[in-house]
Order: sequence, then structure tokens, then C-alpha cells
Amino acid sequence: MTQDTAIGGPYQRFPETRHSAIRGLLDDDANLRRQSYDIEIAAYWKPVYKYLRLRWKQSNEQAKDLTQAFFTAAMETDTLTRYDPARATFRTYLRTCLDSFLLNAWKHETRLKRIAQPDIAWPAQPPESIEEIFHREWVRSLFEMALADIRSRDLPFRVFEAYDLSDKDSRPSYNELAILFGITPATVTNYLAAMRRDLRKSVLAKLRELTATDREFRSEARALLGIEPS
Amino acid sequence: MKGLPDRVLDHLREVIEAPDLSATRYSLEKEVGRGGMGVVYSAHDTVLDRRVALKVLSSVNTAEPRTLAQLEHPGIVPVHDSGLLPDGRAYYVMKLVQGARLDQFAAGHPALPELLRVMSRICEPVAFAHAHGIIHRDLKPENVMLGPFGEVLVLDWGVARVLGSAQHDSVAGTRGYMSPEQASGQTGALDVRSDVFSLGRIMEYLLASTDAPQPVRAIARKAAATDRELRYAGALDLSADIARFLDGQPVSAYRESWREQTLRWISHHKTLAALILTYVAIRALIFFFTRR
Repeated sequence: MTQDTAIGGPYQRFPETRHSAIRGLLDDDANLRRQSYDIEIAAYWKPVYKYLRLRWKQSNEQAKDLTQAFFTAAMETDTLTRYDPARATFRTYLRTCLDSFLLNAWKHETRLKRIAQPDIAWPAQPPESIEEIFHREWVRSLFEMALADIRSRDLPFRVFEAYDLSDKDSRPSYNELAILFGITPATVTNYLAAMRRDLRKSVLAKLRELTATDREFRSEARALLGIEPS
Repeated sequence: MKGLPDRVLDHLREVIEAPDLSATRYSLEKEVGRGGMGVVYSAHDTVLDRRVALKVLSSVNTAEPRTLAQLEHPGIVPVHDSGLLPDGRAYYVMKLVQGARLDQFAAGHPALPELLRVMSRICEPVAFAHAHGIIHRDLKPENVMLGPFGEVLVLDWGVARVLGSAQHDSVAGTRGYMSPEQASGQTGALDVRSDVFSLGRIMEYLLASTDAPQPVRAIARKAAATDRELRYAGALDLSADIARFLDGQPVSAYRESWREQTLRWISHHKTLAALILTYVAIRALIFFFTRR
């Protein structure tokens, strides 16, 4: 895959809520429902896109179009509101809906003249790895949303960005960062500790929004961060 | 800007899970273990200049260090310190145990008497905890450590429960080692015999690749009996039966035949048996020659 997309993130601001967006999808209040859709789309846009590229072998543009089409259809047909937390996680439900959407679309040859024939058997990669990829993309979206929430802390975030968000082979030393930002190495340590703490809180807040039940929230928090929130 | 690269994502997950020890006397070294109740790191105590184990609990429950602190026994890792991290997670500091886990020790195929002596030593701290009204609830080979000087330590008291209290009402333990009453969720009905069951399963695990005699297998079977009324009443009873076997005495878990009794007696009194046999042989010879 040579080309990717920036649609759906990262570092966008998302509606500030502290309730479960999945529960919000079922609410009578149209505004809350809309807001909840926005949160879900922000969290799942990239996992869906990536899934389409890998599982359904779509090109970058096709995958973007189909992701858009899927979420539009899901909203119009209220597909997501039929989710039952007792039966599966929202992720699993969404992926099932996506497969169903694509198969139907392909069968009816509506927009599927633009889609290559799906390779359902897909022997090259077992389903587990697809599940892992979808999960990883979801985690990536979650962290990007959480990062968007903490980047308002100007200097501490810039120090954090230079160190923890660095994709270089070696990270700068605390002394180098201190010189770069005109602060002491102890301040670098404090900034990093504070930003990591904020990121942890923000990830947990986003997780709360993106899970339907308290049990699911705790289970995801434990898997992601190794903690069981109080 | 593209999304978070994989290695940045991995790094972020790592750093936000790692404990923030900046306000403590400890500096983090590395993760050394991970369990259901938390993550154990090796750390450096900057005041006493020594390496320690620092366990960060996955929940805000601080019962574990308090439970452990009550149990001062050579077979239980002592707690040095405890506290709360800035994110609200509890941690506690304990001795950093070096050595081999019981499963690693067993993989070396030690001789049966050595296995049984270790098994008996495992029973001691468990019995001590029982005497203080605490049950471990998650005894398994991975939670037993053998130190370089022969010490046997029972670790991970994260789901330990004070008998008769309402704390930790959730099902705890590890499949294969937890008692049937634990597995069926009868958390209120647990007593020391649940740990005895786990000890029995550990013993069966240790004996799996040995040609242990029937009495030894019977001891493990009795400890791990499905019906808890049929198990040993406590860890010391189990330990005592193991000691009886090692001393060449009959064990309570196994009824021997006359032949087995004789063979056991002979195998543990070889010199005396040889003397008696010689005496009988000489008497027989004398009898034979005097008759002629």
C-alpha cells in the first residue's frame, strides 16, 4: 500500500462528551444522536478504511469512497442503532455490518462497478490477522483522538511531541530537549510525565465514549493500558 | 499529517502504562512480569541503593499490599513500601526475587525426593497464611519461585482473600488449578481447602513426568479431590503426608497391601532387612546341616 489517507484524523477536535457515544446512538435527542455518530465515525473511519484496503483489496480512492458510503448508509438506515451490547462488542458488530454492506452492494451492482470483486476466501492472511489490523487501527484512532484533546497545552505538548511522538530511530536526550526549548532537564521530565498523565486520562475518556457498557470499558482499559479504572 | 506510525503508537502505549515514579524514591528499570492483577517492574531504590520489585496494581484496590504485609514468613516475599501513583493506581515495593519459577525448576526433571521436599516447602507459607485467616486463591507453578539458596517463595497474593470477609467477591484463580467451588463461583463458600486443591494440582503437575509410586500419586489425588470433604483439612496435613512418605512411613491417602507394606519397610530399612535375611539364611543353613 503506497498511498494512505488523512481523512478522519489525526488531531481533529471532536465533540466533548463523557457519556457512551454508543448509548447516544439510541437516544431520542437528535443532536445527541448526531454527536454520537460523529464520535463513532471519527473513531472508526480509519479502521474501516484500512479494512477495505486490506480485506477487500480496494485502492486508496475506492476505499475512501466506500468508507464514506458505508457510514452514510449506516446513518440513513439506522444500522448502528440496532447494536446490542449484550451480543458482541461494537467493533465486531460494525465489521459485520461492513461486510454485509459490501456484499449487498456488490450483489446489486449499484456502486460496485467501482469495486473490485471481493476476495472472500483471502487465503494470504487468516481472519485473525484482519481482526488484529482492525483492532490496531481502532487503537490508533483512539490515541489520535486523545492526542487531539491534549495538544492545547502548548509548550508541554511540543516537548512531548518532540520526544514521545518522534518517529526517528533515536529519541533526543532530555538535555537536548532542554536546550531546544530553553528549559531545564527537570522541566522536560515534568512536562513529559504530565503529558503522559493527561494522555492516559484522555484515552480513558475516549474509551468511555466508545464503549457501550462499563464492563466493556474496563475490559478495553485493561487490555490497552493495563489498568482497571476506578 | 499522516496517522500515528506503528512504532510511535507502541511507544505511547508503553509510556502511558508505565508508572510515573517521579515523586518517589524509585527509578524504573524494566517490566519483569504481568498478571491479572497488575504489572511487576524491576526498579532501583535510590535511597538504599538496591534493586527492588515494584508491582503496579491494575485496580485502585490496595488490599494486596496490606494482605502481604500481615504475612511475615520466609516463604512470602516481604513488602518494603507502598503508595499511590499520580494517576491513582496503587503500587507496592518488595524484594526482587531472583531464581527459577517452579515450572522452570520442574522442567529440569529433578529427582522425586527433591520434588517432594519442594512441594512440602510450598505448603509451609500457604499454611502460615491460612493460620492468619488468608487464602491465596491463585496457587500455580508460575506463582512459586525457587531462590538460588534453596528458598521457596509463594508469590502473587493479588487475589488473596481474608476468610469470612466480603472482599474480592469476583471469581479468581487460574483454570486447571482453581478448585471446583472457585470455578463455579461459590466465592462465599471458599475455605483453606480451595488452596489445598490448588496445591494438589501443583503436585500432580510436578509428578506428571515422573514414575512416582502409588502412595505419592494418592497424596496428590487426595489433595485435589473434587469433593472438598475428601481433601486434606489443611496445607500442613498435606505436607505431613509428604513427610511421612519421605520418612518411609505409611501415608494417610493410601491403603497399602501386605506386600506393599513389606516392600516399603525393606526399602527404608535396607541394613536391618539384610541382617534379618542373613540371620534367617544362616539359621536355615544350620537347620539344614544339623538335620543331616
